[in-house]
Amino acid sequence: MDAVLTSISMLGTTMIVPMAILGMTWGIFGGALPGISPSITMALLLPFTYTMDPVSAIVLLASTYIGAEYGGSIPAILIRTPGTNASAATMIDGYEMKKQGKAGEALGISLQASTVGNVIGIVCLILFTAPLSQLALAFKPTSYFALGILGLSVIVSVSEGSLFKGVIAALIGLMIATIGTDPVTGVGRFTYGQADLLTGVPLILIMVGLFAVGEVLEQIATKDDGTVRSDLVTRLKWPSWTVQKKTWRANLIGSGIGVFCGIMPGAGGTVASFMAYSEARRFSKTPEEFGKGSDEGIAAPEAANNADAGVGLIPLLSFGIPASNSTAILLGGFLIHGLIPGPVLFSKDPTLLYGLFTGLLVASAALVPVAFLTLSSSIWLVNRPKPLLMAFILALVFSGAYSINNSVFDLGLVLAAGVLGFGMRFFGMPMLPTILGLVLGYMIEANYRRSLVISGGDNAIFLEDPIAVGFLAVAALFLIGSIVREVRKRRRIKIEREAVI
Amino acid sequence: MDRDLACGLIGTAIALAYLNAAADIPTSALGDTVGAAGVPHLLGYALAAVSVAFVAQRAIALARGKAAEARTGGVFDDPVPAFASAAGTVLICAAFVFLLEPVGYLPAVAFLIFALCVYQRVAINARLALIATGGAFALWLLFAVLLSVRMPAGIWAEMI
Repeated sequence: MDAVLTSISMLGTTMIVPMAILGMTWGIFGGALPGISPSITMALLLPFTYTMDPVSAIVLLASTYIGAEYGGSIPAILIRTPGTNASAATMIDGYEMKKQGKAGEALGISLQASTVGNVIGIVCLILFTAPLSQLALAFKPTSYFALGILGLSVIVSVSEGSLFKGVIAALIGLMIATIGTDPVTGVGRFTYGQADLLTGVPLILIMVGLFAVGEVLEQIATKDDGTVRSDLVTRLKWPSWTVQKKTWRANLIGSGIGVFCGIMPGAGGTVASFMAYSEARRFSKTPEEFGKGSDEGIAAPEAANNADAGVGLIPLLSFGIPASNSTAILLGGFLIHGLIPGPVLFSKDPTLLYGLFTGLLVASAALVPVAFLTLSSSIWLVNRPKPLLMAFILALVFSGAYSINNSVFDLGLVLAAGVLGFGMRFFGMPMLPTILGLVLGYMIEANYRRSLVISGGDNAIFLEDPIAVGFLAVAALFLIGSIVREVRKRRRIKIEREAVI
Repeated sequence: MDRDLACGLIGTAIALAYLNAAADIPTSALGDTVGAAGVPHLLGYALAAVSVAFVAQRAIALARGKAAEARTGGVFDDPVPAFASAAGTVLICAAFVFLLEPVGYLPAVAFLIFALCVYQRVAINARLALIATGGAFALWLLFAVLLSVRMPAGIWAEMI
């Protein structure tokens, strides 16, 4: 009850409402730009959050994430180019409806499904985060070390095809995390006399470089004839009662799958939206309409990726481990303000999390009016020439990075991280393991060595902590399960190949 | 060269360079049982092992003729022009970083926008110059005026 009253009082006394609306608007615009993912949209905002109070900053970033998930459906429906990976499933029936002259209806269905998915995802987030955090209050250095290892074991499920590449990407992140002052002895490592590196490589600059600069480098390298343009006079139409009766089941299926995938580390919004599309088709009374402009074919994936976005915050808020690129950026937002998400934050500063939950609910409520008001601007943005957009994004990225420490050295780091990001994209390496390595590297090393200092160098200390044993066992199970799945997949591919021959 | 094979070889090279640099980490009198260089050494050897294993797996698959093409797609299907294009963009950005403090924020950002647009084959005309200058001014208003960030004044500070 106290939490509810605190949350309500925060609505009037803080900047939650304007930040939620601003974040939602920025997110819709960012999501609407093809090639600009939710994580890049959020990364562009990070430098601006330095001067804000923590609640405003976190609400702004989280609302941007939610807004971008909806925004991605706009170009998917209008120009057959998904604004985000997760909106690729929406494109299938959305663009078909657009071809039939029903773009407004398709955008309306997408908006309603996004709202349903958002609300369900956020309610799950509120219900599950606090109990999980309570568990983590009993953590010792050994538990944190084991938690870090559990976090790293997620790499196997986010490696997108090649476990080797995922592990290499994670090791690169862990290596970058060793730059700076040693956590136990205070010795400088890989600093080469650079005072800027004594406190380590700022996570935020690496994120901005990897995601934003790396993506822009790839976009500029992509030839675009600019022939796909959208109709500037499309009007968003809220679904009629008949359509709502037809899509409620798809909305619920999508939301349920989104919640499930959000809890599963590494599954993500793209998997959720395609799974939801497939399941909605299976349970539909008119499966033959799928692929030809089905209302349910738009509702299910949109509800799924929006529910996934809300639930995907649980691992970050409960244990401090980001499960996706976007939540990694949100983690950066916390770290900027000296806050470490996890159980301690819950007990130390619960108002921050109440503020975040309230802000997310405000953002969900604001989604419908903001979407109606910003559609014309979104379409205008979708139609901007790519060269101008890319040039302005880079100018914004470098200006923002400079504003953090007024340091040209930081700009060099951002550019270097951008080159690394471009290289990783070229080799088809996933980014998230690198970010996980960067985030978890310090936690793993510092807590491992602190534990050994406590035990006088005896590794058995990890077996004396039941929480650590539990985490390590789960991590081992997770790794074994993933490796078995990988072996089975290879065998299946081999059998299929032999069958073809 | 096969892309995955190259990835593994680059990983091996990074591991060797990292291990070489880790050898220079000083030891501290306060050192614990692991030491400041302990984890870096472990990471270096781990990356070397994984990269070598990746190279071996890929080489065997290629030798048996069972290797599927690395999944990348899009712009990277034709890597040479993609790399050339990215290298040009990086050079422009590096020039911006180099120019920022000597010439000041406004001219440097205007240069960045203008150069990047020209590099992407936007026609050079008065409109583009206006967009670059206007864009730089808008960003200056946002950061220097609205957010009170001290952006470098460069040569303009001395002239005024």
